[in-house]
Amino acid sequence: MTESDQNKGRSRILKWLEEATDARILSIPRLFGLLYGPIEDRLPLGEAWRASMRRRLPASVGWKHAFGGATYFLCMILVLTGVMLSFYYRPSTVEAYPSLQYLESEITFGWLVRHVHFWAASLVVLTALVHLFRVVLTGTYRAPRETTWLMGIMLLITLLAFVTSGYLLPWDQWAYWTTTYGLDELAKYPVVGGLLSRLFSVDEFVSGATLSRFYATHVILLPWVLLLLLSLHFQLIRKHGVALEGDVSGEGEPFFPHHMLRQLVVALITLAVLITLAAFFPRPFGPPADPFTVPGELPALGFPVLILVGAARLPLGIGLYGLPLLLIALAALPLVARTGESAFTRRPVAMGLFALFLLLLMVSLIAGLGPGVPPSVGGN
Amino acid sequence: MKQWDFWDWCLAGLGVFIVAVGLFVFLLYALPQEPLVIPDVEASLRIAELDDFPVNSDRLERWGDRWILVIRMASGEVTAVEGRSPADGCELKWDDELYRVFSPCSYQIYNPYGFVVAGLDNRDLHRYPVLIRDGVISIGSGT
Repeated sequence: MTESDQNKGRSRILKWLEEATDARILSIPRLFGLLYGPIEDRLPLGEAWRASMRRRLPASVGWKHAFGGATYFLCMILVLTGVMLSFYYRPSTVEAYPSLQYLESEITFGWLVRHVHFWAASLVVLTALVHLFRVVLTGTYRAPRETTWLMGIMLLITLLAFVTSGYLLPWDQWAYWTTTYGLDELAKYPVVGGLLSRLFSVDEFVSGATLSRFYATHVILLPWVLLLLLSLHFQLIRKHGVALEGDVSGEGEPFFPHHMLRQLVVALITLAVLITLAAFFPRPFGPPADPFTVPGELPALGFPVLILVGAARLPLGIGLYGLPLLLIALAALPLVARTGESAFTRRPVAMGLFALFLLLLMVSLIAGLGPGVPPSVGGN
Repeated sequence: MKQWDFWDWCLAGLGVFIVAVGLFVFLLYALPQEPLVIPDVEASLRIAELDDFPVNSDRLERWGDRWILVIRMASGEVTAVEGRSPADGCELKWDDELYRVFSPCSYQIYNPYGFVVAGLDNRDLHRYPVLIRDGVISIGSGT
Protein backbone atom coordinates (compact mmCIF):
# COMPACT_ATOMS: atom_id res chain seq x y z
CA MET A 1 0.00 0.00 0.00
CA THR A 2 1.46 3.38 -1.03
CA GLU A 3 1.58 6.40 1.27
CA SER A 4 -1.16 8.22 -0.66
CA ASP A 5 -3.42 5.15 -0.31
CA GLN A 6 -2.82 5.20 3.46
CA ASN A 7 -3.67 8.91 3.63
CA LYS A 8 -6.82 8.27 1.60
CA GLY A 9 -7.77 5.49 4.07
CA ARG A 10 -7.26 7.80 7.04
CA SER A 11 -9.24 10.55 5.34
CA ARG A 12 -12.10 8.13 4.70
CA ILE A 13 -12.26 7.20 8.40
CA LEU A 14 -12.18 10.88 9.42
CA LYS A 15 -14.84 11.72 6.84
CA TRP A 16 -17.06 8.91 8.09
CA LEU A 17 -16.56 10.07 11.70
CA GLU A 18 -17.40 13.65 10.77
CA GLU A 19 -20.52 12.61 8.92
CA ALA A 20 -21.64 10.27 11.71
CA THR A 21 -21.37 12.82 14.49
CA ASP A 22 -20.79 16.51 15.14
CA ALA A 23 -18.28 18.54 17.10
CA ARG A 24 -20.51 18.70 20.18
CA ILE A 25 -19.29 15.21 21.08
CA LEU A 26 -16.01 16.91 22.07
CA SER A 27 -17.77 18.31 25.13
CA ILE A 28 -17.24 14.88 26.74
CA PRO A 29 -13.39 15.03 26.77
CA ARG A 30 -13.77 18.73 27.60
CA LEU A 31 -15.79 17.82 30.72
CA PHE A 32 -12.83 15.70 31.88
CA GLY A 33 -10.34 18.52 31.22
CA LEU A 34 -8.75 16.87 28.20
CA LEU A 35 -9.43 19.75 25.81
CA TYR A 36 -8.38 23.28 26.59
CA GLY A 37 -9.98 25.61 24.07
CA PRO A 38 -13.66 26.25 23.27
CA ILE A 39 -15.41 23.96 20.81
CA GLU A 40 -16.63 25.46 17.55
CA ASP A 41 -19.57 23.18 16.93
CA ARG A 42 -20.17 24.65 13.46
CA LEU A 43 -16.84 23.19 12.32
CA PRO A 44 -16.36 19.57 11.26
CA LEU A 45 -15.16 17.27 14.07
CA GLY A 46 -11.49 17.14 13.04
CA GLU A 47 -11.14 20.88 12.58
CA ALA A 48 -12.99 21.64 15.83
CA TRP A 49 -10.61 19.26 17.65
CA ARG A 50 -7.52 20.90 16.11
CA ALA A 51 -8.82 24.43 16.78
CA SER A 52 -9.47 23.54 20.41
CA MET A 53 -6.07 21.91 20.91
CA ARG A 54 -4.19 24.77 19.27
CA ARG A 55 -5.79 27.52 21.32
CA ARG A 56 -2.96 29.81 22.39
CA LEU A 57 -2.24 30.21 26.08
CA PRO A 58 -1.15 33.45 27.76
CA ALA A 59 2.57 34.10 27.40
CA SER A 60 3.25 33.70 31.14
CA VAL A 61 2.09 30.06 31.23
CA GLY A 62 5.01 27.74 31.81
CA TRP A 63 6.34 24.90 33.96
CA LYS A 64 4.92 26.31 37.17
CA HIS A 65 1.42 25.78 35.74
CA ALA A 66 2.00 22.05 35.32
CA PHE A 67 1.28 21.17 38.97
CA GLY A 68 -2.46 21.45 38.40
CA GLY A 69 -2.06 18.92 35.59
CA ALA A 70 0.02 16.67 37.87
CA THR A 71 -2.77 16.79 40.49
CA TYR A 72 -5.31 15.85 37.83
CA PHE A 73 -3.03 13.06 36.57
CA LEU A 74 -2.75 11.66 40.11
CA CYS A 75 -6.54 11.83 40.48
CA MET A 76 -6.86 9.71 37.34
CA ILE A 77 -4.26 7.24 38.68
CA LEU A 78 -6.30 7.02 41.90
CA VAL A 79 -9.50 6.37 39.96
CA LEU A 80 -7.82 3.68 37.85
CA THR A 81 -6.08 1.90 40.74
CA GLY A 82 -9.21 2.31 42.89
CA VAL A 83 -11.32 0.52 40.30
CA MET A 84 -8.65 -2.19 40.06
CA LEU A 85 -8.58 -2.59 43.85
CA SER A 86 -12.36 -2.91 43.95
CA PHE A 87 -12.09 -5.97 41.66
CA TYR A 88 -10.73 -7.90 44.65
CA TYR A 89 -11.58 -5.90 47.77
CA ARG A 90 -14.53 -7.14 49.87
CA PRO A 91 -16.07 -4.53 52.17
CA SER A 92 -16.95 -6.59 55.22
CA THR A 93 -15.27 -6.93 58.59
CA VAL A 94 -14.50 -10.60 57.98
CA GLU A 95 -13.27 -10.30 54.41
CA ALA A 96 -11.67 -6.83 54.04
CA TYR A 97 -8.32 -7.69 55.64
CA PRO A 98 -7.84 -11.14 54.05
CA SER A 99 -8.99 -9.87 50.65
CA LEU A 100 -6.21 -7.27 50.60
CA GLN A 101 -3.65 -9.80 51.84
CA TYR A 102 -4.81 -12.15 49.10
CA LEU A 103 -4.51 -9.30 46.56
CA GLU A 104 -0.93 -8.64 47.62
CA SER A 105 0.26 -12.23 47.80
CA GLU A 106 -1.72 -14.02 45.07
CA ILE A 107 -2.64 -11.53 42.35
CA THR A 108 -0.18 -10.57 39.61
CA PHE A 109 0.86 -6.93 40.21
CA GLY A 110 -1.64 -6.75 43.10
CA TRP A 111 1.00 -5.32 45.44
CA LEU A 112 1.89 -2.62 42.90
CA VAL A 113 -1.72 -1.52 42.41
CA ARG A 114 -2.30 -1.28 46.17
CA HIS A 115 0.87 0.67 46.98
CA VAL A 116 0.53 2.97 43.96
CA HIS A 117 -2.99 3.80 45.20
CA PHE A 118 -1.64 4.48 48.69
CA TRP A 119 1.20 6.73 47.53
CA ALA A 120 -0.89 8.52 44.89
CA ALA A 121 -3.28 9.49 47.72
CA SER A 122 -0.36 11.14 49.52
CA LEU A 123 1.18 12.78 46.46
CA VAL A 124 -2.12 14.17 45.17
CA VAL A 125 -2.54 16.24 48.36
CA LEU A 126 1.08 17.40 48.07
CA THR A 127 0.74 18.49 44.42
CA ALA A 128 -2.60 20.14 45.18
CA LEU A 129 -0.88 22.16 47.92
CA VAL A 130 1.95 23.16 45.54
CA HIS A 131 -0.68 24.17 42.96
CA LEU A 132 -2.47 26.19 45.65
CA PHE A 133 0.83 27.85 46.58
CA ARG A 134 1.44 28.83 42.93
CA VAL A 135 -2.02 30.40 42.72
CA VAL A 136 -1.47 32.39 45.93
CA LEU A 137 2.02 33.42 44.82
CA THR A 138 0.86 34.69 41.43
CA GLY A 139 -2.33 36.21 42.84
CA THR A 140 -4.58 34.45 40.34
CA TYR A 141 -7.23 33.78 43.00
CA ARG A 142 -8.52 37.34 42.61
CA ALA A 143 -11.48 38.48 40.49
CA PRO A 144 -12.70 37.21 38.12
CA ARG A 145 -11.40 33.81 39.32
CA GLU A 146 -12.91 33.73 42.83
CA THR A 147 -15.11 30.75 42.00
CA THR A 148 -12.21 28.85 40.40
CA TRP A 149 -10.26 29.40 43.61
CA LEU A 150 -13.19 28.32 45.76
CA MET A 151 -13.59 25.15 43.66
CA GLY A 152 -9.86 24.51 44.17
CA ILE A 153 -10.20 24.75 47.97
CA MET A 154 -13.24 22.48 47.86
CA LEU A 155 -11.27 20.01 45.75
CA LEU A 156 -8.53 19.97 48.39
CA ILE A 157 -11.13 19.25 51.09
CA THR A 158 -12.63 16.51 48.87
CA LEU A 159 -9.18 14.93 48.45
CA LEU A 160 -8.72 14.94 52.24
CA ALA A 161 -12.17 13.34 52.61
CA PHE A 162 -11.07 10.65 50.14
CA VAL A 163 -7.95 9.95 52.21
CA THR A 164 -9.83 9.71 55.52
CA SER A 165 -12.66 7.56 54.14
CA GLY A 166 -10.22 5.21 52.42
CA TYR A 167 -7.99 4.88 55.46
CA LEU A 168 -10.34 2.47 57.30
CA LEU A 169 -10.76 0.11 54.35
CA PRO A 170 -7.72 -2.19 54.98
CA TRP A 171 -9.37 -2.99 58.33
CA ASP A 172 -6.15 -3.48 60.25
CA GLN A 173 -5.44 -2.30 63.79
CA TRP A 174 -3.84 0.97 62.64
CA ALA A 175 -6.72 1.81 60.31
CA TYR A 176 -9.28 0.82 62.93
CA TRP A 177 -7.87 2.81 65.84
CA THR A 178 -6.84 5.84 63.79
CA THR A 179 -10.43 6.03 62.51
CA THR A 180 -11.75 5.61 66.07
CA TYR A 181 -9.48 8.45 67.13
CA GLY A 182 -10.52 10.59 64.14
CA LEU A 183 -14.23 10.08 64.82
CA ASP A 184 -13.70 10.95 68.52
CA GLU A 185 -11.93 14.16 67.47
CA LEU A 186 -14.62 14.97 64.89
CA ALA A 187 -17.24 14.72 67.65
CA LYS A 188 -15.44 17.56 69.50
CA TYR A 189 -16.48 20.16 66.90
CA PRO A 190 -19.39 22.19 68.23
CA VAL A 191 -22.93 21.77 66.83
CA VAL A 192 -22.28 19.47 63.87
CA GLY A 193 -19.30 17.45 65.17
CA GLY A 194 -21.31 14.91 67.14
CA LEU A 195 -23.85 14.54 64.37
CA LEU A 196 -21.18 13.98 61.69
CA SER A 197 -19.31 11.52 63.89
CA ARG A 198 -22.52 9.57 64.53
CA LEU A 199 -23.44 9.72 60.85
CA PHE A 200 -20.20 7.99 59.86
CA SER A 201 -19.60 5.68 62.80
CA VAL A 202 -23.29 4.57 62.87
CA ASP A 203 -22.56 2.27 65.81
CA GLU A 204 -21.29 2.94 69.32
CA PHE A 205 -17.84 1.91 68.13
CA VAL A 206 -16.25 1.44 64.71
CA SER A 207 -17.94 -1.66 63.26
CA GLY A 208 -19.08 -3.29 60.04
CA ALA A 209 -21.73 -0.58 59.71
CA THR A 210 -18.97 2.06 59.84
CA LEU A 211 -16.98 0.17 57.20
CA SER A 212 -20.02 0.15 54.89
CA ARG A 213 -20.49 3.92 55.31
CA PHE A 214 -16.80 4.64 54.69
CA TYR A 215 -16.72 2.34 51.66
CA ALA A 216 -19.86 3.87 50.12
CA THR A 217 -18.53 7.38 50.75
CA HIS A 218 -15.13 6.49 49.27
CA VAL A 219 -16.24 4.71 46.11
CA ILE A 220 -19.68 6.17 45.31
CA LEU A 221 -20.33 9.54 46.93
CA LEU A 222 -16.94 11.26 46.76
CA PRO A 223 -16.10 10.31 43.12
CA TRP A 224 -19.28 12.13 41.99
CA VAL A 225 -18.38 15.16 44.10
CA LEU A 226 -14.85 15.08 42.64
CA LEU A 227 -16.13 14.82 39.06
CA LEU A 228 -18.54 17.70 39.60
CA LEU A 229 -15.93 19.97 41.20
CA LEU A 230 -13.25 19.08 38.64
CA SER A 231 -15.50 19.78 35.67
CA LEU A 232 -16.59 23.09 37.21
CA HIS A 233 -12.94 23.94 37.93
CA PHE A 234 -11.95 23.19 34.31
CA GLN A 235 -14.94 25.06 32.95
CA LEU A 236 -14.02 28.15 34.95
CA ILE A 237 -10.34 27.92 34.00
CA ARG A 238 -11.34 27.99 30.33
CA LYS A 239 -13.72 30.89 30.90
CA HIS A 240 -11.37 33.11 32.87
CA GLY A 241 -7.96 31.82 31.79
CA VAL A 242 -5.07 30.80 34.01
CA ALA A 243 -2.92 33.92 33.97
CA LEU A 244 -3.05 37.39 35.48
CA GLU A 245 -5.11 40.30 34.24
CA GLY A 246 -3.42 41.98 31.33
CA ASP A 247 -2.02 38.66 30.23
CA VAL A 248 -5.05 37.00 28.71
CA SER A 249 -4.23 37.96 25.16
CA GLY A 250 -3.38 34.44 24.12
CA GLU A 251 -0.08 35.52 22.63
CA GLY A 252 1.85 32.63 24.07
CA GLU A 253 2.40 29.11 22.79
CA PRO A 254 -0.48 26.92 21.70
CA PHE A 255 -1.79 24.37 24.24
CA PHE A 256 -0.83 21.52 21.88
CA PRO A 257 1.93 20.48 21.65
CA HIS A 258 3.83 22.91 23.91
CA HIS A 259 1.92 22.90 27.18
CA MET A 260 0.71 19.34 26.64
CA LEU A 261 4.32 18.19 26.31
CA ARG A 262 5.16 19.92 29.60
CA GLN A 263 2.19 18.17 31.22
CA LEU A 264 3.35 14.86 29.76
CA VAL A 265 6.87 15.29 31.14
CA VAL A 266 5.50 16.18 34.60
CA ALA A 267 3.10 13.20 34.42
CA LEU A 268 5.92 10.80 33.52
CA ILE A 269 8.13 12.10 36.33
CA THR A 270 5.18 11.81 38.74
CA LEU A 271 4.55 8.24 37.59
CA ALA A 272 8.24 7.34 38.03
CA VAL A 273 8.28 8.80 41.56
CA LEU A 274 5.01 7.01 42.37
CA ILE A 275 6.20 3.58 41.24
CA THR A 276 9.56 4.03 43.02
CA LEU A 277 7.83 4.95 46.28
CA ALA A 278 5.35 2.07 45.89
CA ALA A 279 8.16 -0.41 45.27
CA PHE A 280 10.53 0.70 48.04
CA PHE A 281 8.16 2.04 50.72
CA PRO A 282 5.05 -0.15 50.68
CA ARG A 283 2.19 0.50 53.07
CA PRO A 284 2.63 -2.31 55.62
CA PHE A 285 -0.20 -4.35 57.10
CA GLY A 286 -0.91 -4.01 60.80
CA PRO A 287 -2.50 -6.88 62.71
CA PRO A 288 -6.18 -7.47 61.82
CA ALA A 289 -8.61 -4.99 63.41
CA ASP A 290 -9.60 -5.96 66.92
CA PRO A 291 -12.04 -3.72 68.80
CA PHE A 292 -11.02 -5.34 72.10
CA THR A 293 -7.27 -4.74 71.86
CA VAL A 294 -5.80 -1.27 71.90
CA PRO A 295 -2.49 -1.25 69.97
CA GLY A 296 0.61 -0.15 71.86
CA GLU A 297 1.55 2.25 69.06
CA LEU A 298 -0.61 3.91 66.48
CA PRO A 299 1.48 5.01 63.50
CA ALA A 300 -0.28 7.30 61.02
CA LEU A 301 0.47 6.16 57.48
CA GLY A 302 0.68 8.55 54.57
CA PHE A 303 1.37 12.26 54.41
CA PRO A 304 -2.25 13.56 54.61
CA VAL A 305 -3.17 11.30 57.55
CA LEU A 306 0.04 12.34 59.33
CA ILE A 307 -1.07 15.96 59.03
CA LEU A 308 -4.65 15.31 60.14
CA VAL A 309 -3.67 13.11 63.09
CA GLY A 310 -0.88 15.54 64.03
CA ALA A 311 -3.31 18.49 63.88
CA ALA A 312 -5.64 16.67 66.28
CA ARG A 313 -2.73 16.02 68.66
CA LEU A 314 -1.72 19.69 68.93
CA PRO A 315 -2.62 21.26 72.30
CA LEU A 316 -5.41 23.80 72.89
CA GLY A 317 -7.18 22.72 69.70
CA ILE A 318 -4.69 24.69 67.60
CA GLY A 319 -4.79 22.13 64.83
CA LEU A 320 -8.35 20.98 65.33
CA TYR A 321 -9.78 24.49 64.92
CA GLY A 322 -6.81 26.25 63.28
CA LEU A 323 -6.71 24.19 60.07
CA PRO A 324 -10.41 24.55 59.17
CA LEU A 325 -10.41 28.24 60.12
CA LEU A 326 -7.35 28.92 57.96
CA LEU A 327 -8.92 27.02 55.05
CA ILE A 328 -12.08 29.13 55.40
CA ALA A 329 -9.95 32.31 55.56
CA LEU A 330 -8.05 31.24 52.43
CA ALA A 331 -11.32 30.47 50.62
CA ALA A 332 -12.58 33.95 51.51
CA LEU A 333 -9.35 35.60 50.35
CA PRO A 334 -10.61 36.84 46.96
CA LEU A 335 -13.64 38.40 48.64
CA VAL A 336 -11.53 40.59 50.94
CA ALA A 337 -8.75 41.28 48.40
CA ARG A 338 -10.73 41.88 45.24
CA THR A 339 -8.13 43.97 43.48
CA GLY A 340 -4.61 45.12 44.27
CA GLU A 341 -1.03 44.43 43.45
CA SER A 342 0.01 41.35 41.54
CA ALA A 343 3.47 41.12 43.09
CA PHE A 344 3.34 38.78 46.08
CA THR A 345 5.48 41.15 48.19
CA ARG A 346 2.65 43.67 48.01
CA ARG A 347 -0.01 41.22 49.23
CA PRO A 348 1.02 40.70 52.86
CA VAL A 349 -2.40 39.46 54.07
CA ALA A 350 -2.67 36.71 51.47
CA MET A 351 0.94 35.64 51.79
CA GLY A 352 0.77 35.83 55.60
CA LEU A 353 -2.34 33.65 55.70
CA PHE A 354 -0.82 31.09 53.39
CA ALA A 355 2.47 31.12 55.35
CA LEU A 356 0.47 30.49 58.53
CA PHE A 357 -1.38 27.66 56.81
CA LEU A 358 1.89 26.08 55.67
CA LEU A 359 3.41 26.52 59.14
CA LEU A 360 0.45 24.79 60.76
CA LEU A 361 0.71 21.98 58.21
CA MET A 362 4.41 21.55 59.02
CA VAL A 363 3.84 21.58 62.79
CA SER A 364 0.97 19.08 62.38
CA LEU A 365 3.18 16.88 60.22
CA ILE A 366 5.89 16.82 62.90
CA ALA A 367 3.29 16.14 65.63
CA GLY A 368 1.87 13.31 63.54
CA LEU A 369 5.25 11.60 63.08
CA GLY A 370 5.50 10.36 66.66
CA PRO A 371 3.94 7.05 67.64
CA GLY A 372 0.66 7.80 69.32
CA VAL A 373 -2.01 6.09 71.32
CA PRO A 374 -5.59 7.29 70.95
CA PRO A 375 -6.17 9.56 73.98
CA SER A 376 -9.75 8.34 74.44
CA VAL A 377 -8.63 4.74 74.80
CA GLY A 378 -4.97 5.18 75.74
CA GLY A 379 -5.61 4.88 79.44
CA ASN A 380 -7.17 1.43 79.18
CA MET B 1 -3.23 16.28 5.49
CA LYS B 2 0.41 16.46 6.64
CA GLN B 3 2.37 13.30 5.86
CA TRP B 4 3.83 11.48 8.81
CA ASP B 5 7.60 11.65 9.16
CA PHE B 6 9.91 9.29 11.07
CA TRP B 7 9.38 11.02 14.44
CA ASP B 8 5.59 10.95 14.08
CA TRP B 9 5.79 7.21 13.61
CA CYS B 10 8.16 6.90 16.62
CA LEU B 11 5.72 8.87 18.79
CA ALA B 12 2.77 6.80 17.61
CA GLY B 13 4.77 3.60 18.22
CA LEU B 14 5.64 4.75 21.73
CA GLY B 15 2.00 5.55 22.42
CA VAL B 16 0.87 2.14 21.16
CA PHE B 17 3.63 0.45 23.22
CA ILE B 18 2.60 2.26 26.44
CA VAL B 19 -1.08 1.39 25.89
CA ALA B 20 -0.22 -2.25 25.06
CA VAL B 21 1.98 -2.66 28.17
CA GLY B 22 -0.71 -1.05 30.34
CA LEU B 23 -3.36 -3.35 28.88
CA PHE B 24 -1.13 -6.40 29.36
CA VAL B 25 -0.52 -5.56 33.03
CA PHE B 26 -4.24 -4.92 33.51
CA LEU B 27 -5.17 -8.24 31.90
CA LEU B 28 -2.67 -10.17 34.02
CA TYR B 29 -4.13 -8.47 37.08
CA ALA B 30 -7.80 -8.93 36.22
CA LEU B 31 -7.86 -12.41 34.64
CA PRO B 32 -9.56 -15.03 36.85
CA GLN B 33 -7.21 -16.74 39.26
CA GLU B 34 -7.82 -19.19 42.09
CA PRO B 35 -10.48 -17.29 44.06
CA LEU B 36 -10.15 -16.27 47.68
CA VAL B 37 -12.26 -18.58 49.84
CA ILE B 38 -13.16 -17.62 53.39
CA PRO B 39 -15.21 -20.64 54.58
CA ASP B 40 -16.99 -18.79 57.41
CA VAL B 41 -18.72 -16.40 55.07
CA GLU B 42 -19.08 -18.32 51.82
CA ALA B 43 -22.63 -19.26 50.80
CA SER B 44 -21.36 -22.59 49.46
CA LEU B 45 -18.28 -24.76 49.84
CA ARG B 46 -16.49 -26.16 46.82
CA ILE B 47 -15.70 -29.85 47.40
CA ALA B 48 -14.03 -31.19 44.27
CA GLU B 49 -14.44 -31.84 40.58
CA LEU B 50 -16.46 -34.99 39.81
CA ASP B 51 -13.41 -36.47 38.04
CA ASP B 52 -11.35 -36.10 41.22
CA PHE B 53 -13.99 -37.72 43.44
CA PRO B 54 -14.28 -41.46 42.61
CA VAL B 55 -17.57 -43.27 43.09
CA ASN B 56 -18.01 -45.23 46.33
CA SER B 57 -15.70 -42.94 48.26
CA ASP B 58 -16.06 -40.22 50.88
CA ARG B 59 -14.40 -37.01 52.06
CA LEU B 60 -14.48 -35.26 55.39
CA GLU B 61 -14.48 -31.50 54.82
CA ARG B 62 -14.19 -28.65 57.26
CA TRP B 63 -16.37 -25.56 56.70
CA GLY B 64 -15.63 -22.98 59.39
CA ASP B 65 -16.45 -24.81 62.62
CA ARG B 66 -18.54 -27.47 60.86
CA TRP B 67 -17.39 -30.94 59.78
CA ILE B 68 -19.14 -32.40 56.77
CA LEU B 69 -19.01 -35.92 55.41
CA VAL B 70 -19.45 -35.94 51.63
CA ILE B 71 -20.24 -39.32 50.07
CA ARG B 72 -20.23 -40.28 46.42
CA MET B 73 -22.21 -43.49 46.14
CA ALA B 74 -21.77 -46.25 43.58
CA SER B 75 -24.73 -44.85 41.63
CA GLY B 76 -22.82 -41.57 41.26
CA GLU B 77 -25.20 -39.70 43.56
CA VAL B 78 -23.52 -37.31 45.99
CA THR B 79 -24.81 -36.66 49.50
CA ALA B 80 -23.43 -34.50 52.32
CA VAL B 81 -24.21 -34.99 56.01
CA GLU B 82 -22.94 -33.77 59.34
CA GLY B 83 -19.41 -35.18 59.86
CA ARG B 84 -19.57 -35.70 63.63
CA SER B 85 -21.97 -37.93 65.46
CA PRO B 86 -24.51 -35.98 67.55
CA ALA B 87 -24.56 -38.97 69.91
CA ASP B 88 -20.88 -39.07 70.92
CA GLY B 89 -19.09 -36.29 68.98
CA CYS B 90 -16.89 -38.76 67.11
CA GLU B 91 -15.83 -38.35 63.50
CA LEU B 92 -18.22 -40.40 61.35
CA LYS B 93 -16.97 -42.97 58.84
CA TRP B 94 -18.45 -44.28 55.59
CA ASP B 95 -18.62 -48.01 55.03
CA ASP B 96 -18.70 -48.51 51.28
CA GLU B 97 -19.61 -52.22 51.54
CA LEU B 98 -22.52 -51.89 53.97
CA TYR B 99 -23.52 -48.54 52.48
CA ARG B 100 -23.79 -47.02 55.92
CA VAL B 101 -22.36 -44.11 57.92
CA PHE B 102 -21.24 -45.16 61.38
CA SER B 103 -19.60 -43.83 64.49
CA PRO B 104 -16.42 -45.69 65.54
CA CYS B 105 -16.99 -44.67 69.19
CA SER B 106 -20.46 -46.12 69.82
CA TYR B 107 -23.10 -48.26 68.20
CA GLN B 108 -24.69 -45.59 66.03
CA ILE B 109 -25.47 -46.18 62.35
CA TYR B 110 -27.02 -43.92 59.71
CA ASN B 111 -27.91 -44.29 56.05
CA PRO B 112 -26.18 -42.05 53.44
CA TYR B 113 -28.97 -39.49 53.78
CA GLY B 114 -28.36 -39.05 57.52
CA PHE B 115 -31.36 -40.99 58.88
CA VAL B 116 -30.77 -43.18 61.94
CA VAL B 117 -30.70 -46.87 61.05
CA ALA B 118 -29.56 -48.26 64.40
CA GLY B 119 -28.34 -47.01 67.77
CA LEU B 120 -29.58 -45.53 71.02
CA ASP B 121 -29.61 -41.91 69.86
CA ASN B 122 -32.56 -41.24 67.53
CA ARG B 123 -31.36 -37.84 66.26
CA ASP B 124 -30.77 -37.80 62.50
CA LEU B 125 -27.69 -36.16 60.96
CA HIS B 126 -28.01 -32.68 59.50
CA ARG B 127 -28.08 -32.97 55.73
CA TYR B 128 -26.48 -30.37 53.44
CA PRO B 129 -27.78 -29.55 49.95
CA VAL B 130 -25.46 -30.63 47.12
CA LEU B 131 -25.08 -28.73 43.88
CA ILE B 132 -23.16 -30.01 40.87
CA ARG B 133 -22.44 -27.41 38.20
CA ASP B 134 -19.96 -27.67 35.32
CA GLY B 135 -18.63 -30.89 36.85
CA VAL B 136 -17.83 -29.25 40.21
CA ILE B 137 -19.44 -30.45 43.45
CA SER B 138 -20.42 -27.73 45.93
CA ILE B 139 -22.49 -27.90 49.09
CA GLY B 140 -24.71 -25.26 50.67
CA SER B 141 -25.23 -24.52 54.33
CA GLY B 142 -28.80 -25.83 54.27
CA THR B 143 -29.97 -23.27 56.81
